[in-house]
Amino acid sequence: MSARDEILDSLQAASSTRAEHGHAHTHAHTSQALKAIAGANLSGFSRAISTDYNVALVERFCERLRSVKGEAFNATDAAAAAACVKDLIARWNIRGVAYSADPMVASAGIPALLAELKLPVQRLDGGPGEAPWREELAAAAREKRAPTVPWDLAIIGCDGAMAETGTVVHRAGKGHGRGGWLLCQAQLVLVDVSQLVPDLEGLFVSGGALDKDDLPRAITAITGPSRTADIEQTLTVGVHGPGRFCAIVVG
Amino acid sequence: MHVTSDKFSKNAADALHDPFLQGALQRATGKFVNERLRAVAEYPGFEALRDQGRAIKQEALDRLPELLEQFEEKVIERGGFVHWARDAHDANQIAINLARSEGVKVIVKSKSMTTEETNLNHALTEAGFEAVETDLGEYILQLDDDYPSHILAPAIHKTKEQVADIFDRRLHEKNPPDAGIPGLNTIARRALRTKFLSAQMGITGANFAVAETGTIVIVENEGNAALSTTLPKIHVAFVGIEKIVPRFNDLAVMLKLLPRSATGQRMSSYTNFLTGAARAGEEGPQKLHIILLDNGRTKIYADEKLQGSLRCIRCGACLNVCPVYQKVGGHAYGWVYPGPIGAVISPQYLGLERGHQLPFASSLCGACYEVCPVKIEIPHMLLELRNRVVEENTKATGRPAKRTFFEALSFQLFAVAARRPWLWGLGSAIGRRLLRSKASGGTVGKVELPVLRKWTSERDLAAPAEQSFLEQWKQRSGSKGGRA
Ligand code: SF4
Repeated sequence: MSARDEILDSLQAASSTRAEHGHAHTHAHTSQALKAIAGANLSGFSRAISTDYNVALVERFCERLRSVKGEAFNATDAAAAAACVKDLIARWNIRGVAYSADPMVASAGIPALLAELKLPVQRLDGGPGEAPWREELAAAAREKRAPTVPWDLAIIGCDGAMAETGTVVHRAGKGHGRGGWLLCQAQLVLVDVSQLVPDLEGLFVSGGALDKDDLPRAITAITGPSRTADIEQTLTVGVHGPGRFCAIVVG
Repeated sequence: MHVTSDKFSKNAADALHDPFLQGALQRATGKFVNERLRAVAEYPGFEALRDQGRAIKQEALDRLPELLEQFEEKVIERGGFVHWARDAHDANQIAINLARSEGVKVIVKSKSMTTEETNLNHALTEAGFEAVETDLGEYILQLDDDYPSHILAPAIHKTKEQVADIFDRRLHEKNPPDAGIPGLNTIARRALRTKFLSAQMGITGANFAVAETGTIVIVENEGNAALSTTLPKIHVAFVGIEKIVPRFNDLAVMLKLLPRSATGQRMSSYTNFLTGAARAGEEGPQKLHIILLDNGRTKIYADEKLQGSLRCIRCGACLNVCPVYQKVGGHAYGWVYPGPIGAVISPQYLGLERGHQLPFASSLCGACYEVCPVKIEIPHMLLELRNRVVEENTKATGRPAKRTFFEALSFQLFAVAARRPWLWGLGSAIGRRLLRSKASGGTVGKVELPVLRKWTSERDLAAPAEQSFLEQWKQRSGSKGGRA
């Protein structure tokens, strides 16, 4: 008998004995509970049309992201966002930028800004366009030197964000992978205010960033910088992923 | 790894005499407990959430055969492969065969208790592969040939000086003076970067496996699991068959429970939702292999009294609150799963002969149950296992557990006194005086009397009250007696 059949058979045997003994559970309880929470949060979700509510959401998002060592800003429009990015590039001493093909990145005028700052750039498309870049990163790491151009900031958009925890969600897809931003020292995410939901359930709705009927190979919910406390329980950032993290909520 | 669960008492005694370990345990468990409390207090309805978490995982168990088949079907639909492994050896062998047939040399691994359970690193190294742990704590342990002592913070038993020394010896990298822990971090980041960028295979575990969609979820803070499942062209996931949840939306509950219970974080830095292999134009591994592991789980599944232990989501909360774990640490338990949940499941994986001491490594205070996000009745299960250990002994020796002469005598004296109130009163009055005369600071030290000697050499006996309960009762109720 194959391992598969053996495992399934023994599970089946055990559950049918249990059912005979009247231990079978009904799951109405479970699904009811789930519906109840989903319902509660959906009503919260639709309230997002009111302006006050939006302000509260943005505030909550920023506060929560800061509490996990991320930076968070609210920019009223694309121009303000670009100014914020410019400021960050100076403050973090960024020498090269990789950016994704996200519409938010384009609408905030990031490519123009980088040209103005005369910074070396790399398009993050998760495809062949990234290959030479990755090879250079690998060679540099192997030879224990800095890469020829230190692309140390990744600028990306996102597919959803959650106020309760200060989280942004990235759905990897054609033309925007995640390997690129994972390899950078710092990460900047542009969030449109309409993408913000109060809590986790809001992301699971149809058409949301975590829609069960539309799942790409990789979805990443990102909450602040890469962190570890593995040595003496001391929190340090940037162990494998970006050590600096900033989100700008636009609108 | 070398199993030492049968030597729990000795391991524990050693741990108690290790001052660094004591400090580290106090710091780590204290921090985890406090952070969890803060996160739980801030979230209204956390109790209801625990009930839902329990219901979801219990439903998954009740429907396990059907859900596993559904999971398999969905993974295949999305271009992945599913392998079934009866035991640790089979699972490791599947991974080795895959690596061989794909011409893999370097493998990056992200932290997984399941691969600790199968001792995968050892098997891969034996087979000639370079398998690198990429979680910082695990990496340190791998370089030092050591193994985890906590399921979340595997290297809590190491000092930063020890880590610096390990990096110096094994990587020939000296941490610059004053660079401290961030400096050690940088050394590891650089060393592991080359591995991520050159590995052909990434091996991970999974926190959840969703039957409805074939998705696996990996929750992490460092980004090493994300890198391991993005850069190499092959992804292999070791998944225990109990990791199943029925629906994708169940994750909305489980992902609130797990990080809050584990580290007190609202969300971990990276939550990876991975569905199938990369499709045309998508970045990531073109090949996905999921190894579904039994390794004793079907046996636990068939055990009505202990099946609930398969709901465990490995959050580690029960370890941190356990007064025994807090003092003896993870290594004392002698196998990969320590703490209260380890004391329940290790004897089942290892067999009662080797795990017989573990169910007794508990004060039965119930703190583990209070924090468990999926409400596993750990204290009941420990009692059940204690019963079984005693039964096994009885069977093996052909007679009930042996009583010493003094033990038997004490029980006889007890029987005589308990039937004669006047004798009981007299005896307990004398006993109370005697013990009180020996007491200091509220406890009685070691009592040099048969039977009591053994008990009091390992436990503090609280000093008896000045008056007995009955005396107090009479005084307070004006000697009316106990009738209402
Ligand atoms: S038994 Fe409960 S508290 Fe302990 S690790 Fe498992 S899920 Fe967490």
